[in-house]
Amino acid sequence: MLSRLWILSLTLLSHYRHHRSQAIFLLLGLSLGVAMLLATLIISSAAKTAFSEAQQTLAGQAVAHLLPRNGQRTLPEQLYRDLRLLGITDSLPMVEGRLMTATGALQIRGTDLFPLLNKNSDHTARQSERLEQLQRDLRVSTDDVNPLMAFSYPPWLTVTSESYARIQGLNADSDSLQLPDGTPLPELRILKDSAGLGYFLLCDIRCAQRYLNMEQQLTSIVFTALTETQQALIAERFGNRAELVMADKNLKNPAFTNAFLLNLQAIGFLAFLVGCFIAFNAVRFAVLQRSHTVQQMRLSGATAGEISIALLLELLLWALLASITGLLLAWKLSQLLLPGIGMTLEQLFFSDNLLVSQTLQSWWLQSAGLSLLATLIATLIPLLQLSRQAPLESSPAPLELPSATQFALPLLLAGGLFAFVPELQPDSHWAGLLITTALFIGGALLVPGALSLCYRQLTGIRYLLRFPALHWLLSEGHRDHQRQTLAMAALTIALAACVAILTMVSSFRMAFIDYLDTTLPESIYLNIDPSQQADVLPFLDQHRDVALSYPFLMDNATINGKAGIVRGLTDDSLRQTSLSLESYSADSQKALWQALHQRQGVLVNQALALNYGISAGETLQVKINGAELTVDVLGTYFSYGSLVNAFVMDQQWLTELWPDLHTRRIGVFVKQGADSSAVLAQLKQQFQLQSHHYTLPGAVKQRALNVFQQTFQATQLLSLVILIIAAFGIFCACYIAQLDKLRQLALVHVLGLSYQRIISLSLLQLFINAGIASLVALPLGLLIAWACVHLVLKLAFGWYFNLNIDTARLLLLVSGSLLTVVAGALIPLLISSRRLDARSLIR
Amino acid sequence: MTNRCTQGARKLISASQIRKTYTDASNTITVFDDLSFTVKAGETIALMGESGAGKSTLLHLLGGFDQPDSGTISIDGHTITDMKDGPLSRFRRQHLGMIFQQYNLIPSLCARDNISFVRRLNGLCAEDEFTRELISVLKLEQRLDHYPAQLSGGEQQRVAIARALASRPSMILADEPTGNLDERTANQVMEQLMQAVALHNSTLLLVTHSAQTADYLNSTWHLEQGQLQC
Amino acid sequence: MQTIFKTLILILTLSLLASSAATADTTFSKVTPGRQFSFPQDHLLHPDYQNEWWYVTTNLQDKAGNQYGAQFTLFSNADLYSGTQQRVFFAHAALSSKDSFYHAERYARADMQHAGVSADPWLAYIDHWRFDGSKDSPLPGRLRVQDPQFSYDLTLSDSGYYLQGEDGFSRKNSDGSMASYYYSAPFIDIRGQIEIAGKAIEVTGTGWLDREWSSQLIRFGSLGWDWLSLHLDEDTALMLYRTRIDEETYLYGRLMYRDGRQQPLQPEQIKWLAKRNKVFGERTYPIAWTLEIPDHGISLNLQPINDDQFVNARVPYWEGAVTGSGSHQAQGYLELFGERQ
Repeated sequence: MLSRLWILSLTLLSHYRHHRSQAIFLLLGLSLGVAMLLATLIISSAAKTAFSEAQQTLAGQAVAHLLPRNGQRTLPEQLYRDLRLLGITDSLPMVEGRLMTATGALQIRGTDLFPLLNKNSDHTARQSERLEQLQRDLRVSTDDVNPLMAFSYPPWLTVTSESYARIQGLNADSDSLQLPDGTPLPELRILKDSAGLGYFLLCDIRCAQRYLNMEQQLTSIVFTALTETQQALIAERFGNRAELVMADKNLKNPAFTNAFLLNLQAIGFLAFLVGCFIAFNAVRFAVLQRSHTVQQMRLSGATAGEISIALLLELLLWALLASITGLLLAWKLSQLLLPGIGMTLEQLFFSDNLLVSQTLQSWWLQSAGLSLLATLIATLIPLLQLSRQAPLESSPAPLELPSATQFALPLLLAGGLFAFVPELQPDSHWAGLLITTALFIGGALLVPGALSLCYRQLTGIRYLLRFPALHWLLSEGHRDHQRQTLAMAALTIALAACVAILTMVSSFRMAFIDYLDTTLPESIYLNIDPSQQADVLPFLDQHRDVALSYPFLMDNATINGKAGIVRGLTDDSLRQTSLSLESYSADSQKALWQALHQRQGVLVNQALALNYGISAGETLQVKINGAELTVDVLGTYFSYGSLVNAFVMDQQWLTELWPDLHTRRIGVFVKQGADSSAVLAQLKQQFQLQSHHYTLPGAVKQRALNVFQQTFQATQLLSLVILIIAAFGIFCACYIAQLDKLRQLALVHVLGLSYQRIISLSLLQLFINAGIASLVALPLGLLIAWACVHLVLKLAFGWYFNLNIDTARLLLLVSGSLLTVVAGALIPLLISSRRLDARSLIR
Repeated sequence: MTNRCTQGARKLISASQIRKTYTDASNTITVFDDLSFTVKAGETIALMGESGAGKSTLLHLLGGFDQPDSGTISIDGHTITDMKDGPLSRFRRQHLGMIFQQYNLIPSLCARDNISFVRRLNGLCAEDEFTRELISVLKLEQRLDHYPAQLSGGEQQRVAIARALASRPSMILADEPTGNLDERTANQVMEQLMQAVALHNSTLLLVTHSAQTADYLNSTWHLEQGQLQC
Repeated sequence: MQTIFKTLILILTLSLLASSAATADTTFSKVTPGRQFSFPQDHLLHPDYQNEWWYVTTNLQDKAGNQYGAQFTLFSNADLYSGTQQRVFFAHAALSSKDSFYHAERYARADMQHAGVSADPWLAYIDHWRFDGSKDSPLPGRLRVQDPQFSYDLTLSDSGYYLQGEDGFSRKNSDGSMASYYYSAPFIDIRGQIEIAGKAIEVTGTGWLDREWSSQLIRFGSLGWDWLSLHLDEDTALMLYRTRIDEETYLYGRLMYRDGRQQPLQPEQIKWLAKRNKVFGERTYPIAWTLEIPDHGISLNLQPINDDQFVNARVPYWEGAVTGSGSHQAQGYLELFGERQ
């Protein structure tokens, strides 16, 4: 029996020797689908590993940070020494900031590495293991100079990761790193990403202090272990100068990352389905062409079971090949995307762990599993059909599949109900994903019905008989649109995903720009000592070009027993414009501001409102500087993703409650038409202000926008990749469909249609199919964007923004996709047109 | 070798020094070498010969579906051996009707639309008096709204005949039109075909193995070893 | 945030002491004979010299007579880097009992100022490890070390100071090319409290303070030494060291008496033989010895109170409390370091 199986298998597989394109498409489809999903899984795994790695550092996980208080920017270095002398030694001094170089801005972090050499008695064994492991992991070229000394003492050494170097265009040639005035920066060493550095330049603390003009100052102190006694000691001794922030404030980080990675995985999953579609098309055709062979096999005495086993072996072979090619593709794709994704996580979710993927081999099992799944999805049904073909049948009996529309409508209904009826929404982070998945798949399943309906309507138009070629096209399309249904469904999913992502990103961008504009309305921000403010503020008050200047007061407060932030708001319309209120008319806004400054209540930010389920009219228990208050909530203002629960109160009221509250930050509004740079120049001259004493909002906004752009690049890139895969699926489907229709096309060629007309008509049919798919995809994508913003974001992040539909860009996207699809189909049409042979009509 | 058989009034087809070879792996097969002939308008010719003699090849050359290695073919004043695909397609739908052994109807069009397909491609109305007469002769009145899958073999072939003739081409090429039919149906189809051809006085070149079928036509040519024997 | 450090440790983990060997010490002061010692100034840091330490060893007993050893050393190591002197402090602390041994080490660079030696009052410290002295000298003083698994808080009495070698010039080889300035305070009475694995124990005992500084002392690869300090009785202390430098072995010994007398010993008077070894890491350490100095009636069998007093620091060595039996009931500290032929 084995030899019979062997012969059957080889015979069936020999088909691909003469139809290499089918084999290529099949393998490519499987590989692409597997690769995309696997790439997102690799990225997710790297992100999770990076988070869990943070648990196992030599120094331990950062459990708390000591931060400047009272609006100060820095801590005195003496504070760090005092802590260590008190025995709180699981700590490191940090100096962080942005350094403007000749080529751009770099994020630098400075610290003192010597305390990391400490060994407590209980860490002895673990540390030696870790050190040995690190020595194995890291390969850094060292010269004769002690690297610790080279790093810690002038002329210093800076270190960064490969990925950050690549993003910033850095190389180890130290001449390339300079300040704008030409002063060279220390020599740069670039470590492999596996060293675990984040997206910054690491240097010695003295180096950072010098370049950031922060001599004897720190931006924070990081604790890797802290007992309750030590916490109490810090609060007692240093509470008036610094604020201890426990790391559990970052509880949302895992949620953020999970939500983001879920998004990536969803994209990967969609691509997986699209890849399966491509493969399914290819194998269907292979099945059709082998039906005669199978018929002969059955007539020769091979049983259905033997043929099934032979085809099963073929299925396993495809799975094996796809697992290898899929894994290699996934690896390359993940390497390409990891730096961007890592930066997204770092910038957006405050994680500073660089993503490093594991070894290629460790993913082989997952790849094999995914490719087997993909192969099963793509090939099982057609191969099953083929194996069950009766001896006297020349083609396999078509499987009776239920109408796609029967599934589409319930899915769309379910997704819609959950999306639009809040009472039905399950209280889970998964709810958003389930809703969007239901909408995606439901929308895609609408496509066959939409195609059928369209063709049915069109072929019923007798007027079209005047255009026989077109009439033929439409009636042919009506008859065999099923052939392209899967490809069109894949296109629908891909296009809907692109529309959704484009809409969300552009809406977010618009909201973000609005947010920046409203929250950064000032002309100049000053950062000066309270002692200097005594001179500066009166100067500004009397300046003819200054409309308003005010100290920006903000500090910690307790809100309903939990940590939060209180901000003061001066009674001025210019300040009021910095808050974007939710759902208020102009008149009610006026009343609201009045109530705020009459101390009738407070405004809460979106995060607070959503996290606590608070709305206007309810009350909050707050504790400000030890004073406990019950305040009314007057309304909510947009906070666009701020993690912190914050509320705003009248500034005068705040200063009365907290007389010692000081700040270094001053906001300055320059009058309409006046020159803010002139005001700044005068300030600089009068008060010898240095560059770190002031910031211009434009620079802040631009930096924020740059970060925004970078964070979403990876997502947008992935969505485009899906579209490309879908377009490729169209290419394959078109190719196979053309081969399938060769006889038909040869006939119409014989009857008098030229090659060009045949190609044009085929493209027109494709355009019609893709157009219908786009018509489904466009509203579907918008619906999904709405669901994502108003459900997923709200559930996972606790905030949302208004959707902004950029019609022009959407139309451009759809048009571009259609053109790409049509252009991609041109090649198979050209190829098949060369094969039109009247002799095929005679055989 | 040159063969020349002439009958009828006006020359419709003129083939001169046709050479056609096929290369298959390492073999070169010469189908025709220096074949010349003419066909007068209105002739009905049965083309017979052994399998592999080149009957279908000759039909393809005359239909413009294949090009000779050398030589020229003119049909109704048009030298088709020089034509590009566009003009050739136009020529084909205006001057040529094809009838196949496999019927080769467009499955997505009903019988009526199949019949009128080429007419409509030529910009003519779907039906005229001639078309209605054809339909009547071919006894298709009751089957016009049926699709090919709903027609019997004979009915499909009659539809194919109607399609081939509806645009009043000057020449009909038929490749074993009765090859898939039983004897009785085949005879019916041939009678109706000849009636239909007579309606327009079309020139018919029909490939067949059947002497009985050949009897329906005016003359019989035998193709042997690349030569035509009248 | 901390992940960066775990990996950077690799590139930055390099023996500080190893680096100093490669550094030319031309700008550091050399140790030469004939130096006049001056107290209390010499209790403080000598910034012109490359290496220096404040070294306390103690032999303690609890009320039940159980033996303990506590050790604290603050090191200062300076290197020239890009023409500038950069100084690092590091400290070792250890606590031994019969059944347990704990040690820890800490590091600090001088410019971060969470380690150092200061006067008025005298203090040698690194983070919260403190050796508090009196106004301008370490003794009488108080020694406090805390670690998650052990701690000690010991009060140190005053003691006389004894210059080692030739009026404080202590050569480590015959030609004196490797030498240090060296003085000891061997007659320290200790009382206080130790804590082992959460259990507090009142203790008393004796202690020894050694002070050395040099710029030509530390060299790796071909350097090793054995050092022994013993309290033979209440009023008699013995210090021996045997250095192995290149091919040369150099033996030094000195008897010190509470009344201020000192008796240098000649190498031929000393028969100091290893009796029992134990392997730690890749090295063999002779942890038990016999010591005979017949001219002074000394015949001792020296045993560690715990064999496993191996300090697995970044530069590892064996050091621990020992007791001697035989001619005297002695107790002291033994240190075994480096290469051994």
